[in-house]
Amino acid sequence: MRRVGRRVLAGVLVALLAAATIAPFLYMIATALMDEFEVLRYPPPLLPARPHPENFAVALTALPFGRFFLNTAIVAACVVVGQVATSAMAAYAFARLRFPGRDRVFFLYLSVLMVPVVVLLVPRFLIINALGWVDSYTGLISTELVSVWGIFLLRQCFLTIPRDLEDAARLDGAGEWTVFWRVVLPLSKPALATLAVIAFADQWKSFLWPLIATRSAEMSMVEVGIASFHGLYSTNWPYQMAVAVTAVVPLLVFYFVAQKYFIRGIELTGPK
Amino acid sequence: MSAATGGRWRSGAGIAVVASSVLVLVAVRWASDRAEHALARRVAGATARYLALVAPPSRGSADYDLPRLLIETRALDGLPGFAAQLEVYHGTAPLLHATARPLSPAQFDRLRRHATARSDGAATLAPLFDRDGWDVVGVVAAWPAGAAWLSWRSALAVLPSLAAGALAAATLGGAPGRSRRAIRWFAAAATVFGLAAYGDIRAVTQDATDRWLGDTRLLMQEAVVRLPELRFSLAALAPIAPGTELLPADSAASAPWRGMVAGTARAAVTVRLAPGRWAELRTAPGEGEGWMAGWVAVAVCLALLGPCAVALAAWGERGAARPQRQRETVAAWGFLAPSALHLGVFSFAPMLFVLYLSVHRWTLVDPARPFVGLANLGRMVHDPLVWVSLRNTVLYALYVPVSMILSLGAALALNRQSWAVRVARTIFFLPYISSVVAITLVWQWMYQPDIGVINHLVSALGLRPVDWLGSPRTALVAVMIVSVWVQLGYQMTVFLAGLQGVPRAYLDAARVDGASAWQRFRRITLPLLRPVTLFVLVTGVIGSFQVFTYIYLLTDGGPLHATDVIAYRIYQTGWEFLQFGYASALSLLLFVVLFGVTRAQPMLLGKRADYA
Repeated sequence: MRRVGRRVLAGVLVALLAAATIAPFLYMIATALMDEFEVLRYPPPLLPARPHPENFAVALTALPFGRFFLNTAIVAACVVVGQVATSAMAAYAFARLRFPGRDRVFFLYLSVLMVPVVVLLVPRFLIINALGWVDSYTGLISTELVSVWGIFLLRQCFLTIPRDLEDAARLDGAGEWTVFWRVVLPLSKPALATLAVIAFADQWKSFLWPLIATRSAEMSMVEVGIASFHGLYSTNWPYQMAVAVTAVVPLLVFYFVAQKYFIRGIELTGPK
Repeated sequence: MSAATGGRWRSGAGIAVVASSVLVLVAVRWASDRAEHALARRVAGATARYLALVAPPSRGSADYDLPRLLIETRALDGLPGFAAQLEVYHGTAPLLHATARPLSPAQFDRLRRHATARSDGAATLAPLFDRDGWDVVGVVAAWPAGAAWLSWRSALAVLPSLAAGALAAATLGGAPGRSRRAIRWFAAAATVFGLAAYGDIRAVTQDATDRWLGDTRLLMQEAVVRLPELRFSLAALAPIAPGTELLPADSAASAPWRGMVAGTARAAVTVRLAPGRWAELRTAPGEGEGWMAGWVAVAVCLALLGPCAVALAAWGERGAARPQRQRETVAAWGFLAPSALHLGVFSFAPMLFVLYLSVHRWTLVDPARPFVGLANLGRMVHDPLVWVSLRNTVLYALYVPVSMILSLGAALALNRQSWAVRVARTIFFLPYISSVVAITLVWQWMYQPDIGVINHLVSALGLRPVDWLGSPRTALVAVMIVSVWVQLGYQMTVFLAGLQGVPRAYLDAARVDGASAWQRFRRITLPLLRPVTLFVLVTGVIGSFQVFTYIYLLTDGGPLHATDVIAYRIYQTGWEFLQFGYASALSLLLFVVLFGVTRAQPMLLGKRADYA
């Protein structure tokens, strides 16, 4: 009897926590549909008296949001391709090829994870500034093309592939590139997808680097663009919530489609 | 067979030794050429502006009086000590050497269009503007002095380098120890050669600055002779050499000298205006420019190509017996090349760059970036904002244990399979996956002091409403609440993955032995989860020490720096105050602190776990 009671209590507590987690999202949507002056009433209304979907139309035409989304999509796509390609190649070398100093080089790679991105901000910015890449796709993309985390993730995955398959290919006279391209990559599609999904979401959500690497509205990525909208309409909460909903929806759709890859990514690179 | 392949490696290494030396010399020559061209451009420009100053206009037109222009030009030719090789054209006709080839109309047209000094073939052409400074009426051409191929310095340095290279190449195929030693000697000699080559580049650049100062000084003195009223008006004389400083002085030294003026390096020369009246002409010395540091790297790297090639040849020669192994190594580096290059340029080089920046004063607006030693560090120690932000960062990191407790509890409750559990897990993960800016927007809205829904709840519970983000006492807590809300789902997912590694059999056995739920958790689950807990804690603290976006969007570091954190300090110092040197010093501080924290946590936890 006590066990059942405890389970019910735990269930109620978790349900409360879950309600607190999702409440801001629901409130975001509700406010996005409210009238500009309705939100100023006290007590604050939880639901709009009459939905105002035109908030979205007005808020989204105030700034070139289409351009922001396009920029983000371009940058994220390039970064995903770059990270998957470089990570897979490096991971193959570390997981499968024997060469002098391999472990030392791998350790050197992993040491990059010790360096916080914030520390590299100033020199990276000065480098792209010297190259004239500030406020361009090149500047946004170039620094993000390699992910040591991705190399680690794919190496872990490649290590689990049985060597027999590759040895069979090698006996048939396949070179390293053929083994990599025809045997290892097809066998690790889920891991590649995991890396791609997480890299894409990371780029979509990235804020600090786009903030300093771009100056003009034409080159802004979604998050920075929305942040500038906040300054523009700082008192019109329904407009702001409409923009927030628009920013969240693509990510949530993406998450629901690719949920298992997110979870797998966390599980694969978690503690061992 | 082996002797023949050994010979091939040896001759290949020999070629590489010579080629790398030649490459260094070519680089020196190229750099010297550049310096000479830059000098020619400056001299041509100064001469054109000198002529515009001294040559009188012809009557009724902005153009110059041609006979007087001719006289002034010819006077330049006889100027003692004037080093530059010049030709002056009026239109396209040469004035200085009557028999010289006239300028082609196309060249003249190009110059009229661009109206700036430019290299055209061997010469550098500068436009001669009319008195109104409106149209280009003539051209001053300057020929850069030919750069030397080999100074005595490089000649002295290249010989030992070549000799050491030849010796190293000759040892290939012999005992590995001997060839390794020889390659090491070669590397040392090549480094010396590279530094000598850099010395040449530096000397040429320095000499170019000196010659420019000397020639400009002569032009200014001539201008004063022609137009005596100029001696009282340095401002009228200064346009001959734009981008320099011309100040009254009281020294009669005629040779150029170097010195520090207000923290920046300057090359200067004294211009004699009249008996007892001097002016000092100052300019930035060519050899003090930032890119000269780049030439050290270029020269030494090119010189070291030789030793690298010989080492590579030695490795190839040794590995020829094991072709499979060698093929694999080459393939591995082929696979690693893209990521290694990228990490080198965008991770390792920036790391070194941060170290360099942190001991310099570096802004984007001022080209002078002097070495300041530990001044940035000293400033950091005395900067109260740094200490405030460090304290806030540490306080902020305290949200990690809080959210860990919540997420562990949620993970324990959700560690089973049912549709409700799946829905709950998805819900908990939503904040982590959503847009950070959208999250901060909605929380800002909910935190509003008067109309926000949170204060409404607070007063419904009978408590006093709080100005969450607007009061220094609650702002940091408010940001931490948002962080807990975001991180909960991520940490829960990691804990859930870890809980899968806790064998059911242990828990069942404990239950059979009569252990209570708390005892099972305390004695079995928690110890087995230790690595997971550690991982969540360490990554969480690392992340929280770098927090920027929430601070930037929710509070801007305010109110009264109550939420100022170290990453925000770096951003503001760099991108609002444009002090990149100081921002780099702050970055290093963050790195050192994080390194210590990352090292300390497992040790602290390890002790406690052993104790229990």
